[in-house]
Amino acid sequence: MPEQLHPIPAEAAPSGNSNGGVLPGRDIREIVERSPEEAGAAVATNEMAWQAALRAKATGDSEVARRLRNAGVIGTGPMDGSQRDPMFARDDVLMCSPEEMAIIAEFNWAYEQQARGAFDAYRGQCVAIVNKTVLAGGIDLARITAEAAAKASVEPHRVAIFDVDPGEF
Amino acid sequence: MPFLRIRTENVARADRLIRFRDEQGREQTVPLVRLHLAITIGRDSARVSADEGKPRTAMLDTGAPLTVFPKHHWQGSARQIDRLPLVGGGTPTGRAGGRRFSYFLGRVWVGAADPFGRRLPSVPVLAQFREDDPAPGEPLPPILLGLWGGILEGRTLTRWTTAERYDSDLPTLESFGQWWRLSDP
Repeated sequence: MPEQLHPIPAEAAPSGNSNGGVLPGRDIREIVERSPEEAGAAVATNEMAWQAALRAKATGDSEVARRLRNAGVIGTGPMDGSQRDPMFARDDVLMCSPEEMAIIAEFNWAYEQQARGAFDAYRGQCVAIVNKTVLAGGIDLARITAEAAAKASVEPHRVAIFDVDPGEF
Repeated sequence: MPFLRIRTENVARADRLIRFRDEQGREQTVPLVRLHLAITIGRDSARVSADEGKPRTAMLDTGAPLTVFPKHHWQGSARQIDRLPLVGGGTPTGRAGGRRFSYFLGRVWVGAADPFGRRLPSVPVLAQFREDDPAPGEPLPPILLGLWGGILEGRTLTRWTTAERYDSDLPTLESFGQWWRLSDP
């Protein structure tokens, strides 16, 4: 059952908060100067909304997210955990090491190539990738890793091994 | 609360797509959507060799009871696996993709990462480690991340419907109407 939320009063709602998040400090200070009572109500309402948002995030409750958006509490980004997610918080995430990020970037490129059919010749095999270039392919991972590392003059751990899907049901 | 997005990927070859006409006579195409993650082998706190511990691709398969590592993926990381004896002994066999395989049971630490470089900490995973080699001409099997004793344990897997066709941060990432997230509590 979605949580019941009360929208922030229009005059107390944050303005220009296009990046999402909850009542940036500048906005609440303006409201405090104009009307302390309104500010108190806004903070109280906002705190309830923020707690609800955290719970919604934990449970993936998209209905609550929609209500929060309608209330003007959070932005309009997707609840997908990306930086456009209004509930995105850098402290929440663990990031890969630079070495791992390099391999992930190769995978992102490889998935794109696979979708375009560029890897059709390697369906059901693996390809060895360095700097968005396929340097070897086959079923022997040790061999293709060594071959790609030698061709690119890099250490084996810098070679991304991508499993090309057979592409069939 | 660490979390990551799971890649939705249409892996079908263009000539193998299912096309049909719907009730209104419009041609529709069925994507072959699969859920992909990058995984790392080894504990976070005691990194294995750079080559052993580098990310590799895996498929999240909620239809698989257990995680399955094909031989070509675990061979280079064999020292990271704790073999577990089966009660009653013998050589167990399993089945995946319509193919029967022999395996040994073991436990290995597995971390996960997404296309944006976010990761979830490594956790101990009970898995089947395949000992068979694919027949000549047969495709290499993928790493399957299964339902029990694996990276889903104690975590929340969420699917939600989206109208976004592509992720605007990663425009090559297509949603197929659904986004998925895996998060720690």
